[in-house]
Amino acid sequence: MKSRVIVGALCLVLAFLTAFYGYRRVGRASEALAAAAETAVSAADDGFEGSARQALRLWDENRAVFFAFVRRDTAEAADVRFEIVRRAILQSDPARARDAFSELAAMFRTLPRTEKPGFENIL
Amino acid sequence: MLTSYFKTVLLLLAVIVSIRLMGKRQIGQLQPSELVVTILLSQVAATPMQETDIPPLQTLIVIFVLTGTEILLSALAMKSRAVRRLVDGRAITVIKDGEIDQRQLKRLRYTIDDVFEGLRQKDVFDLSDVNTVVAETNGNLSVLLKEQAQTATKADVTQKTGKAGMPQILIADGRLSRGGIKALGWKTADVERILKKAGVSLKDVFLLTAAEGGKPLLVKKEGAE
Repeated sequence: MKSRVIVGALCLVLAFLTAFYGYRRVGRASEALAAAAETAVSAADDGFEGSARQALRLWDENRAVFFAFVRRDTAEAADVRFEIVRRAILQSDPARARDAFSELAAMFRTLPRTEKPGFENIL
Repeated sequence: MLTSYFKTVLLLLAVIVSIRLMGKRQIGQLQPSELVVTILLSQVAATPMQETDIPPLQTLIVIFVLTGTEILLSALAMKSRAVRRLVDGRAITVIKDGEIDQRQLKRLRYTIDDVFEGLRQKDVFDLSDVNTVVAETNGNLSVLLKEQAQTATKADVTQKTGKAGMPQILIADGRLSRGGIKALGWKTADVERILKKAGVSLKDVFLLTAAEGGKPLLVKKEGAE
């Protein structure tokens, strides 16, 4: 009986820790990615490539977390836009990259709110 | 495609582990809370198997929250009668002393056909044979028949029911079986007493068995006097 209670409590704790880890990682990464995308959008022409590459590196580091915790269509949409940025840099097309970045900034700004465990989101 | 394959295997294993953690019960024996969790588990696991948009980790979180909550609720229900009543409800008597409690039937939304169906499943076809029927929390009906309709038991048909243990071999082919004597808690002198009473010597006995509280069985060797 006691062991079953421990197993039940462990299930709940494990599930909570996983959910909390996902919430924190996705939240922090979204904030950082939104900020990086906004920086790239407003960066001067000579500083654009550097800020764009930094945003790309940040995405590469957090891509797996988004695919694990966020709906696949959202993660894929972000992935596709970062791919557009990557190609635009290779083709020296900063205007196209900036468009993709502004879409990404809007996407990452709204994403953490959907993950917040406030009552308004639960209910 | 390959992702769907591994995702399905992973979720299937998670559901099997969850069901095993919740304990063994047949569908008909599930308490209301267990039934709800079982239905939810199958639904929660089945949707992401077909829909690739839902991340498997989210599904695993839901599965483990459901399992953990169910286990803790059932543990609480074991400790507290109030929680047990809240979660599982309570058994309700629908027939008492042979009389149908129509108020309780209405409360349970049981028709008389449901009651008869439940009785027939218990091999009871005549309502006049029934003393008490209880609607259990898992939906099963428990039936107590009137005394005259109950099946006779061994205690009813035997005057004396002594404690009969497993018969032990005490002598086989003229030789004492010390293992059998020891198993009965006897001594060699007890066997000798039986032989003396029967008027036979050890070498003339083909078989002697005895059980605790039972009568010894003695078979002489062919040709012995």
